[in-house]
Amino acid sequence: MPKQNKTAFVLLGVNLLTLSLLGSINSTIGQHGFFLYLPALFFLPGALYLDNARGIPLAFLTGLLLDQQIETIFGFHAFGLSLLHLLGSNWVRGVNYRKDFVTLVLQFPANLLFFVLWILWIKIFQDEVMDWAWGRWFIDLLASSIALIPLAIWMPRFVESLLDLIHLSPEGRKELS
Amino acid sequence: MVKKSDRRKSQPFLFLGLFLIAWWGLPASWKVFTKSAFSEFHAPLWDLSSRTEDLSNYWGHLSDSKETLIEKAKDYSRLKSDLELQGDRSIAIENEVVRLRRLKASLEKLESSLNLGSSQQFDPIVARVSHRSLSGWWQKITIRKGSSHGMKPGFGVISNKGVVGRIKSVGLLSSEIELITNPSFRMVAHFAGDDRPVTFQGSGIALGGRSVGLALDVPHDLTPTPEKPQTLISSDLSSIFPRGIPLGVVKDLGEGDEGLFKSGNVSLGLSLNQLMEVTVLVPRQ
Repeated sequence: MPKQNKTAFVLLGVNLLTLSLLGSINSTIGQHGFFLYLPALFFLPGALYLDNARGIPLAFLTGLLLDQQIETIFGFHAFGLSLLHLLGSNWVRGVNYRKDFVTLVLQFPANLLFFVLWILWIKIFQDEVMDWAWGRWFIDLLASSIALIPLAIWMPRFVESLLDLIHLSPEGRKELS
Repeated sequence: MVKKSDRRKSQPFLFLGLFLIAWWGLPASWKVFTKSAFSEFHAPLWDLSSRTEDLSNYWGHLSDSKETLIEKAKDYSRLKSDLELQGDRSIAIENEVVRLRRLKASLEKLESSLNLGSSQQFDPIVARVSHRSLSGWWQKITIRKGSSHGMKPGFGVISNKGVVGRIKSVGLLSSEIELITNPSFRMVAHFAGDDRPVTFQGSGIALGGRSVGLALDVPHDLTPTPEKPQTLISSDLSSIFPRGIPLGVVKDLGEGDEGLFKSGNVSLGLSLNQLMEVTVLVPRQ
């Protein structure tokens, strides 16, 4: 159990680092009129290595950080990532996640779902204060999907290596099974 | 009958649903407080990355090649000779300053004698940009100055290119600025050379990074064309900006929704990507 707690803190650190790096990249590339919107990156490591008692708070906290950073409704990504953690943890533990296409198959539709839900939310509830033109939405979706391919493969591998390095990986996974 | 294992599996979903309902019912003030706490947590990260960028630029210049150094020395000598020329002009400029000060004093005397009260005045505070978030739905920048530097929500922000936006939220050492491209950003404006107020509204960042806005409630006799565009400037009616700060250029106007006024797109001269420093306008008490 203490190992699960340590793993949760390590994953929070990884999520925070990835969020900050993405924020910095977006800060630079925003000039070209597109934005990397990649919320689906953040649910898979928690679903792979943590139980619900730790995975959901991690997903919720990461979602709140994302909501604050990219100025979405406070709680939108927090609940979205928590739900994906619950769904993902049921799926992912039954498959061989080490195959790269599996991580992509999980994260790609999850990201698309966030894209669709968020634009619907803006068009229905936030019409007066926010706008996401359909042209921009399509370009953002295209750019984010391209960027997601290497990142979706990299992030679980990075987490695995990191947990290996600090001797948390094998036991952490055994505890869950 | 529902199996026990199925019920156990669906329990977390049920708890999440209940939590969502509870979250929905939480007071907005609590959410705002939590959000600002997260913002305070993030701010040092942006500050650090911005300072690291500054430092890497500095180190980058330190390791410039011999050719670059020669080029820079040439630039320096050009600047030096230009400085000497400017020095010669300084006497004329000093005389001009004295004349303008006299004019200003007489203007203030006239204003007080007519009981007009001078227009709103501002103290400029220069701040460095630490982070930009230019998503399709919301555009904001973070600056390295916060409440400890006298920043308050609502203050106007400008740059050398024109109006940038207004301060939306303030942390201890950083502030978030809502950019003029946001659809929620509305302000009173004028066309240069015309006193009638019109409405400016942000309209996002288009493909290719072009910043756009909308000019609304424009009188019918104003007819800018692509050959003869008209500049939209800030109005002192807005109370957070002085009059005359450029917003953008209007090349064409069409009929508004109600037919009483015209409306059209505003091309903002502002390069949001190149904003490194901005000036916050602090109203004088």
